[in-house]
Amino acid sequence: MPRILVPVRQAVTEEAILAYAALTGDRNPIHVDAAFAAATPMGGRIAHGTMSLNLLWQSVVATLGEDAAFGLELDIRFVAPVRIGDVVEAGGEALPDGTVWNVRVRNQRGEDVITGTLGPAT
Amino acid sequence: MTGKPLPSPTAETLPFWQACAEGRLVFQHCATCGHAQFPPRSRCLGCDAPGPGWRESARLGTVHTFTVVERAPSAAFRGDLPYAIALVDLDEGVRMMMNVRGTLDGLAIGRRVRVVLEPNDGPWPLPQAVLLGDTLDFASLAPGRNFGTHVEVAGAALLERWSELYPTDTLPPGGTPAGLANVLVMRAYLALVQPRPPGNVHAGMALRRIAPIAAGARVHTTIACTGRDERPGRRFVTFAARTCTEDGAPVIEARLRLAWAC
Repeated sequence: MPRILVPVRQAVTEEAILAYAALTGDRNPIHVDAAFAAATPMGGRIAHGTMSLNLLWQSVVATLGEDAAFGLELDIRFVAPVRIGDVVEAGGEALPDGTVWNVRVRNQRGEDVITGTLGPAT
Repeated sequence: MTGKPLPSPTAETLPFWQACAEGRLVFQHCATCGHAQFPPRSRCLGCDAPGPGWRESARLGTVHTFTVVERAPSAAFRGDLPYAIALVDLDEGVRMMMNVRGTLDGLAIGRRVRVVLEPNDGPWPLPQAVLLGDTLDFASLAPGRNFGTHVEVAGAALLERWSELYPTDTLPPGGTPAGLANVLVMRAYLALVQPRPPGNVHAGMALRRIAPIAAGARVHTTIACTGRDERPGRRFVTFAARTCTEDGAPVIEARLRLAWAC
């Protein structure tokens, strides 16, 4: 029984953010318009939250397999922005009872950008 | 709906209709000069470059003009009377002709609309306009408010983009990657929960995949507001998303939490 999630990493580039905007249809200027984003409290463009969240699902499936990943709920909060130039890594570890996992996505400075749990449906 | 004329795709228009069949509204956008055009043609009207590329519309626009038909042109249209035909200027800069579905109350030049893809007896859904209400402010988001259902195909257009973004993610044979569930839920939310105030922040998400979604499967996602709460300085709204296959089998269940801007 694995107890550590296989880490999955992504380099956050401008191209990736624009490609994710096209994939989701989310063209919120906070993600795609540098001039607009610079004038907001974010101070610049940020990546879509779910762009990094997708890495967590890849990590879950790589660790537990396709079939075992069904029925599990990934419940997370977006806790910090992800910027162009960041490298984010998804991972996590099982709690002692083995049914719930602490999961997170961290940036290259070790700061959490996503935190949450993986486990049975709530 | 029987007896109405249905689209006959040509070589130029087939990609448009195929996208409609997948739940996407697309238009031509020339990579050489940036000109956007509709209806589709084999060359760019701005610079004459061949084969302008395609872009997906956010499906929001403004009524340029309209007419309300009181007398049916054929028996097939009698049941729709009175119905509206509008020229809609999409935000991306192209103009399309479509009916206005749902209420015609408040239909006016300049009114904001969203575009839905309306099934018919044939294989090609037709883009149609629905009037948008006022911007959804915090007070208007009552628990239980249903935003309707968005239909989408988990097809090649989405999967190709996915593979470009996540090249190390191996796709299950004939299936779709786990994270595509997030994409399907977000696409439905963005299409249905309109018009949103600018400045909302995605605060959290809970998602459970119930059953596999095959590549090319048509899925239906329903979005409803399930609650709202206030903290000092921040207001939050939660939505529930439920995705089912065409025969009603549930495949995704999700909750979205948004910090609402107004």
